[in-house]
Amino acid sequence: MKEFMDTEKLIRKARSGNNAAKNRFYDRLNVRFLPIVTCELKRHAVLQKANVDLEKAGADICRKALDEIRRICPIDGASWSLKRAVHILHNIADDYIVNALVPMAKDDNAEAENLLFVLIRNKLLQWMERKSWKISG
Amino acid sequence: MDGKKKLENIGMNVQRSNEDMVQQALLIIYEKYKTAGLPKGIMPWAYKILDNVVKNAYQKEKRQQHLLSESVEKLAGLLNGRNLTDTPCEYHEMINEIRYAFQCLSKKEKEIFALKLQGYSGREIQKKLGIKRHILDIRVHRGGKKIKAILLKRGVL
Repeated sequence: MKEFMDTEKLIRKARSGNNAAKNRFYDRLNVRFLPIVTCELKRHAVLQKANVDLEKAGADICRKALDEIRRICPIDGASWSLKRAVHILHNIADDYIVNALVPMAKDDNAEAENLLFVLIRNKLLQWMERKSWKISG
Repeated sequence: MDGKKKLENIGMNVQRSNEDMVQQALLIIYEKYKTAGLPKGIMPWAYKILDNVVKNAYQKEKRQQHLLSESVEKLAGLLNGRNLTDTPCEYHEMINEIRYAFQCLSKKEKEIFALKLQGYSGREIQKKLGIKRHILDIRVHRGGKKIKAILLKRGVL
């Protein structure tokens, strides 16, 4: 409860434009995101088999996601929403996994190839649901 | 207007087509992957392919709609040539009835009838759609029977 109250206070401060509070808020977000990403990466056995350093990859993804969040929907901006931030995190994690699978698939790793195409398919389906296509004519 | 609405406006079932189009894009991606390998930024490339597939599907559907409406008018013209109707009002009604009859055909039958009314021969249709002769004949027979029954029922013939 105390932590929740602290977070509320921190968000209020960060939204008012306090830089120190903003940095603390992003640090806290990073701490929250790290286990989510690591868990997501651990779900794919093929990455573990390929000896990918999941902890490092997780930290990398979180750093990229936070950069993106700072750019697209900063905490003191009107576009901020936690849902959106998590969405950005998942997108970056998916991109990371796809990019990690590409060289493995090239090395004739059937498991990696299958997973790669499943992920691409899911991403394309999500894109179709979301996207408003600009069709000329 | 965004593409999704455009597709809905021309009568495409967007929900059902989504998976088909993704599948089609995936096949193209797989083919390219097998022949030329995957590029570095794979997802933007995949999205571009899917975007093209969607655009092509839209264009194809639009062309077919246009072809179909032309065919309806041609069939109405043929029936009108037999002096079945005289006034423009009746002609207009007849077009509506024929359009309704066409809607009752299956997708493949519609395709065949549209081509047939465009003046394509059986052999050409066979080649265009990649089907066997007897299948074409069956579809023409069934479709013709359906149209005739509907037009008879509605008092056009």
